[in-house]
Amino acid sequence: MVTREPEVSTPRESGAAGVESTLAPAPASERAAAALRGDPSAAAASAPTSNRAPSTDAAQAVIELEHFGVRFGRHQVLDDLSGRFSGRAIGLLGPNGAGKTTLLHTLLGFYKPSSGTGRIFGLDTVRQGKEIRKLVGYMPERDSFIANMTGVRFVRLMAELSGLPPKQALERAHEVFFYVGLGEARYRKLGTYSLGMKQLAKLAQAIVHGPRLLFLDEPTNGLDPPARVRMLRLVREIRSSGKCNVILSSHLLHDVEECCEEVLILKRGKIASYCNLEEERRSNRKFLELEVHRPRARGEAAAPSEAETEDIAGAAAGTQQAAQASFADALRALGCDVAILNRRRLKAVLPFQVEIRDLYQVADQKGLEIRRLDYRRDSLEDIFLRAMGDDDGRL
Amino acid sequence: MAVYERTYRGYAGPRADPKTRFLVVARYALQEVFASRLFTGFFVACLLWPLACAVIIYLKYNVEALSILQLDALDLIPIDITFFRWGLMRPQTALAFVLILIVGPALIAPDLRNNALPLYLSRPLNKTDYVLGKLVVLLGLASAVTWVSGLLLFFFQSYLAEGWFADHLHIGRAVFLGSGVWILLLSLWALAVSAWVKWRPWATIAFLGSIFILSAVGQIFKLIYRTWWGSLLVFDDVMMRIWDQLFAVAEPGELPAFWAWAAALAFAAVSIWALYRRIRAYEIVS
Repeated sequence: MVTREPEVSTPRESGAAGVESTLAPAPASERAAAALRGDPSAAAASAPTSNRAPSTDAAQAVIELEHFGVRFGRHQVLDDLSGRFSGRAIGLLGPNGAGKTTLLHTLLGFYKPSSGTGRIFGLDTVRQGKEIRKLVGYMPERDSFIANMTGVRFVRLMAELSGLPPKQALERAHEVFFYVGLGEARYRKLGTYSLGMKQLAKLAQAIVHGPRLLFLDEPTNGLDPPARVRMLRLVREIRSSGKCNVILSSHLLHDVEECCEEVLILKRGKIASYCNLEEERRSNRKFLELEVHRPRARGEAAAPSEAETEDIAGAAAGTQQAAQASFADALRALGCDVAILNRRRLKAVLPFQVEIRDLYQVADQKGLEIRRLDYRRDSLEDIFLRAMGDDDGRL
Repeated sequence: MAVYERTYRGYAGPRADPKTRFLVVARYALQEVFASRLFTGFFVACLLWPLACAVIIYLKYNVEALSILQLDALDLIPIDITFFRWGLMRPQTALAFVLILIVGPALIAPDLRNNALPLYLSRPLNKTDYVLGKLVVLLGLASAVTWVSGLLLFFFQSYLAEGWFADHLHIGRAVFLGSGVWILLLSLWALAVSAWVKWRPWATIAFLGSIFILSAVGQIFKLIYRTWWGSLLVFDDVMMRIWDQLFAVAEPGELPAFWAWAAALAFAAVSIWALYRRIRAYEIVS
């Protein structure tokens, strides 16, 4: 007996643009400027407050969390997560133990949340677990397979468990094996597969039933560079097909940067940051990283006595700091956004009318030399490190 | 999708009825079981004795065949409670035990060892569906050699002997219920052991060992304290008492029937509890 599944529209299908509808926690430029100013409170204020990631209501969210928490005994693994996530490809980042896999498992219904609610495509993760699992494909982090089965039989079994009738399941199993590039190995037993082949077989079983949401837990774990490139290309293709949203959990920033449009960073079970990478890239104005030194005056050139050394060093440091602060103020007066990184380095975003030569002039007026000057842009690594740097795990 | 069109596409075709999803697990497990020729041979051999019993029943009521074989109907064993209980069900339930011993430990242990449970349980399938799928395999195989053959012979005898059915209905009921309890308890226990011991040979040893150890402890208890309480741990004693009651045998054993049923229920409950403790999509790291 066959029945038709109820259609659940994804944000793509409902015509919503995931990027626009994503929780855009305050304009990224505002946050960037706040962070650049070295003002964490301002950054936090313009970013999602606590663990809430605000969003527009225009699109149906892929994942909605409302005070979502998971506790194992006395250990709070996920703590009060809230937000609506509707991106086409969302990277789930965080250090080991941040709660990435726990979040995926709880959304899949493996654990019950200890507090709050979670919804996928509007379906409650606790009450409508089976309905959700019809729409979701899951590629686990650890080796998971049935050793005594051939690849195609294994994937066919998984397709049938997802509800495909036997004939269609067999057809799809062959198709996905060719799609992931294991066509020639599909009649080999899974136990004889190499690690890279097993990862691809895991991907095949996750997409065989044509899910609308794909959970990929560390998909490039243990892969050699060519296999990794292949895996990431497949993930990008699936994402770009527009038929499937992807949640990619990884601690490898590069993988997330290559495949995802949005990033959710978890830290100690809390949302440390949620941002749209493309928007961040666009809004993150190029900034200058400057290294300034105060040249020694002629009188200082003579070698000081040992007793004088400490005093002079302290005074020199103080003078350098004072000169640097004065330089920063002068730049601000020119309309630059400036953040002091350390005693010698500072970051500056120049307005249109300010030129590099102006910086040299100001430095000269303040008795400083610009020793190094680099153009830089915030990378995902910067965003990640900034998120990890906050003490309370919140932006 | 043609092979050359290697692009991702979703699936919008028909879906099977979710209520019968557990049968997919059972079907694949059965295919694995019958992939072994040795097992297939053994399974066929398990059906030979019921076939021989059918021949005895047939001969009993076929005068022509008896005359050809130069036999007297009185020389053949009577078709009564003794025939069904001791002649048919006793050997068949023993064969069912061996069958469950062979198949049971191989059902869940490999899935646990290969960490396959997250794959099963990330589908629209819950623990109960998974366990039910595996249980159906054992129940199906063991049923074929116990109550299905027993009831077929019961109906065959009823067909050949006029008026026999109404007078011996309790035999049919006993064959069905007794076999059902026997194979259900053994299947649950085998699955529970399979869920706790990841390596198949050890799971087989553990299944056999646990039953023998429980029996040994029960017997020691009985000998030392001279009480029937020890029988509650002896699987065979419990089942014997249940068979006695179902076949309405006049001479009741030491163990009261109520306690035999209670022990069977407790045995099943412990097995189910143990199964549900272990069937989960994740490992608990303490």
